[in-house]
Amino acid sequence: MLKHCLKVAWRNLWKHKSFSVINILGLALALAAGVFIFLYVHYETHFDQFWDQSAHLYRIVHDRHQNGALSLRSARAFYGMGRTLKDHLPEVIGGTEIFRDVVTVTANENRIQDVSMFGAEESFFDVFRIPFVDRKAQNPLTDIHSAVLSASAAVKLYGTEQAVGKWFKVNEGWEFEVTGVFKDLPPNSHIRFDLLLSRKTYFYYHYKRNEPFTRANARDAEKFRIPEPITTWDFGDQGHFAYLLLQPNSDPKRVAGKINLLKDDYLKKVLQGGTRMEFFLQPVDKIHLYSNRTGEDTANGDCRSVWATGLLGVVILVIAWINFVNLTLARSLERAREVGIRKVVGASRWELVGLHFIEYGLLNFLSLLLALVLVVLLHPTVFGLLQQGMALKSVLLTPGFLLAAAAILVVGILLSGFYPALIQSSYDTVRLFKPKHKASGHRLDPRKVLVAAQFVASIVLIVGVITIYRQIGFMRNQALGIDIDHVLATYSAMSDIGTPQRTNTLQTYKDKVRTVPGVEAVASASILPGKEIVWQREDVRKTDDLPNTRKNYNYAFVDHDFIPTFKLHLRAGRNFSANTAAESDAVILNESAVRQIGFPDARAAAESPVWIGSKQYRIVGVVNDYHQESLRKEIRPVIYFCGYQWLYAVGYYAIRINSKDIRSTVESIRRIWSEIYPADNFEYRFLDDAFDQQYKEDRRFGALFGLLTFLAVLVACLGLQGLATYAIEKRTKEIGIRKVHGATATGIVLMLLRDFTTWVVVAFGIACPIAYYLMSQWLQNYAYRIDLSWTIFLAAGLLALLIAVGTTLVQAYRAASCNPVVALRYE
Amino acid sequence: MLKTEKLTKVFLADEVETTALDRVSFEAKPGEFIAIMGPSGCGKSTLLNILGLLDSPTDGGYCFDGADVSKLKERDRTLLRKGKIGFVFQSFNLIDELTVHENIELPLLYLKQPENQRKQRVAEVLERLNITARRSHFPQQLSGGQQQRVAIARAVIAGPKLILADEPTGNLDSAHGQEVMDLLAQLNQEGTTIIMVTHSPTDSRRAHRIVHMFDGRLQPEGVAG
Repeated sequence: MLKHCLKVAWRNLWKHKSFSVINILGLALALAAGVFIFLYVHYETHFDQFWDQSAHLYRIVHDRHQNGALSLRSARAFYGMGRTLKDHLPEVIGGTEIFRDVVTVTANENRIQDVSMFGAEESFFDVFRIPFVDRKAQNPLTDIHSAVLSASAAVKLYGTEQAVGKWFKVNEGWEFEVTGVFKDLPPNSHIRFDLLLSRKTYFYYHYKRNEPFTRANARDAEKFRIPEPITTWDFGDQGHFAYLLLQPNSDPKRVAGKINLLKDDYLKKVLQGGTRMEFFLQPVDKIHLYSNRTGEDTANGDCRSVWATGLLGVVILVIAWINFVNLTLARSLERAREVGIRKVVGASRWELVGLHFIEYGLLNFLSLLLALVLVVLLHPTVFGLLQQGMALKSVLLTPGFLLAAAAILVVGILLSGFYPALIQSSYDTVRLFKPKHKASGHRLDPRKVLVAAQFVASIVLIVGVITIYRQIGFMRNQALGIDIDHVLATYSAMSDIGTPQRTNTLQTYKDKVRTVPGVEAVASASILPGKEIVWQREDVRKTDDLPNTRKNYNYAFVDHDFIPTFKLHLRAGRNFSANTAAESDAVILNESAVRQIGFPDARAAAESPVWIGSKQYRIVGVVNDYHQESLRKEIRPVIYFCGYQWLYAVGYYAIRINSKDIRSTVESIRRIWSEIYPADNFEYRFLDDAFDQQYKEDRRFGALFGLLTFLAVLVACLGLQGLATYAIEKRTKEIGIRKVHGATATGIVLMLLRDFTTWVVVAFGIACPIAYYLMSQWLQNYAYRIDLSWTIFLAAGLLALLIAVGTTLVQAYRAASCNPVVALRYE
Repeated sequence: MLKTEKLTKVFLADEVETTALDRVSFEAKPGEFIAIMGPSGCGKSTLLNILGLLDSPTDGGYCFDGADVSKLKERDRTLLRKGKIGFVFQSFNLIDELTVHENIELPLLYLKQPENQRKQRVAEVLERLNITARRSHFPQQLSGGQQQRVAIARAVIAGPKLILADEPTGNLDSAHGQEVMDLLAQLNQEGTTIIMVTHSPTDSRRAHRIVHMFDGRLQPEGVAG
């Protein structure tokens, strides 16, 4: 019996080749898309689950409130917290803090740049139990000058030689010894690093008054101990990430509560004035999708777009299954006679269900096979678009995935096989033999409703794609209020950090660069357009405001060249003068800061006194608002100080070039750099490119969304194509009659197209409000956004109409140009 | 009215040539009622289709209403056919999705007549064929005889000079068949030329002239097939 069923099923597939191809291809495309989306969602939702004990790992983060208003949601915490909490709280098994830097590493001839590095203590391994490939001691970060490398970094530095025991240099020459090599971390980690340097080294040389970190200087290193016990977390910076490993059954909320009780004793300085702080524990495996705080290490994912993508995958699958049911039901009438005959010769209803079920199961199975082939062939391209770190093998062959594939197959067969099989087997035997057996003439045809539903989804997606691309285009073309074209930017030189001659060296550098032909202006600042301004302060007020007035401002240090170099506009007052010393009590505000502080306009602000902290400043000028960051973010109030305070941190040099021969101009600048900063590499980029990089993520999302939309539309087209084939076949007689009575081919084509496109128009009506709602939600992610103009909807509707007409035109034309005699011969 | 000269039609199916019409020369004068008889597959319907400008001959000449139409393209055949030729089929060929009224109206629609004229004309024909009561019904709701009357109504609505009927009583019982034949005879008396393919000797007796066909060829006049 099964053999018979399979034989019949196969013959049917073969006989109706175009239907089978449409069915298999449509379903396979959707399944392939489903697999990719599943892999993507799986990747995004499985961050940080590879750590040993990952379920009990937490990061300490905090909110800062200034006079009752939330002023900062920080991803970071304070040095010393881990050790204190381990000593005080029984729930804490281990605690550690790390700080991040990006460094250059050199060993012999080999150099790696942009190495992501963490300064860490021995306690790091109490919390993050990473597997070692090789190590010198049980805990490789105990000693000063010790360093732990990732396996891939070790290979880059030392090739096949043993790395442990070798010395290498960091940046301008700090010496470290490889004391351990760990297995590379998976890419789906919220912290990424190839190098851990012993935090203790920094302390040791700090106490030794900033001597270079060289072996020769580490004379009494063995005796050095970090002061115990920790009595404060107040080391003046919040640049550390702090982590805890908790006992399996402890409640993170209670632990956070205890931290909030302890904090007053440890953060006396920070908690002065109106500052209030609240600590939270974040499960490490939730950071990637749900944290999104200020100062995250790696760019976080967005749970909304991940789930939206997942939903899209489900929509595509459902559309494909609807198609399947649609096409199958469409064909069922043709096979009504076969069903009737089988019933007459004694097939029971359930035998008939089984018969059809096997056929549809076979179709589903073939689709799944084709889908897997597509996945294997396309995965390099798609993964490139999705996320660099995704790997096919690691997920595809896991029991979870195979189980999911089996589940999809079963659900697919049940949904798309059982229903039509049930319908098909239910036809009344006697009616089947009547020559005029027909589907109900004037009721709502469910097949058309199904196709309309697909077009609703397709139109919503098309609106989505157009909106996303328009928003990206808008962000990239919007006037920024600042001129970043032809501006070359470098980080400030690192090798003379903290040295007294630094300001003079910088002055020499600027003067020399200015003489290069093609250089228009040179500026130095603590900020660079395209990068978040990290520094914030709240103690800013007008002289007639109450002393506890606090609002959040960004602030920056710039030189007098900053405004002309970036072609900013002064709304009132003047720029800083070249005499930096004379400007020590001068500030320039942007327009947002003027508004926030409470001046009626720029002119009123200029030359007004203002309190910043305990010092009174003069507002010498007001500069226009410009987009410091992408248009996702709102323009913030900024206070510009004049000077070089940033010299103890990282700053930026910006050079405006107006030259026909950019290459030789850059080459000249490079020569000057190497002459003045021989220990630093000259690494530059053009600011417009760097700024544009902020939209990389948006563009990737757009490309992904576009691909999925293309798939959804394609699958919907296949469905419409199938429906059209069937509908036209059903109307062959009618077309013949109409032609006999004088209808022209054009008239018939228009009649058929009208029938198909009516449903697209209905779908358009339903899709518009849905798309409007969804896309307005999405646009909320952007501080500066496009209006959802009616042209977007019109374009999507017209596109859908065009697609529908294009899909059905050939068939309609073929049917219409057919000889009516042939058409009527069907009778 | 119409005249054919050595009309030949060859069908190609699965690389096998079938000669459906073999040098058929045939003439019909205005006002004639001609019955074409012959066994199944002898080419009756093919001849009717070519006479009705639904199909074109492979070879030979066909003169309709004074013009040579044997080489016309489909588009021009359609233009010529409109309003001049009415068709009645054995299987009625009504459109199931359209009501009686709408089915009858169809030829006028394609003649682009204004709506009020169409309505009036349809009402007249409905009245005349005694089916006014059924005007809003769908074909499936009618008996075979009623359906064929609707088909005839549709055939005459545009006032054609020629009606081609392909076994008009083939699917009807004798009483209904009789009625349909009465209708055709009446139309003929009013001046319409009628060419009818039939298997029924009773029906053929209504014609002025009987033409016999066999294997795609016309038998000499007066010789029974």
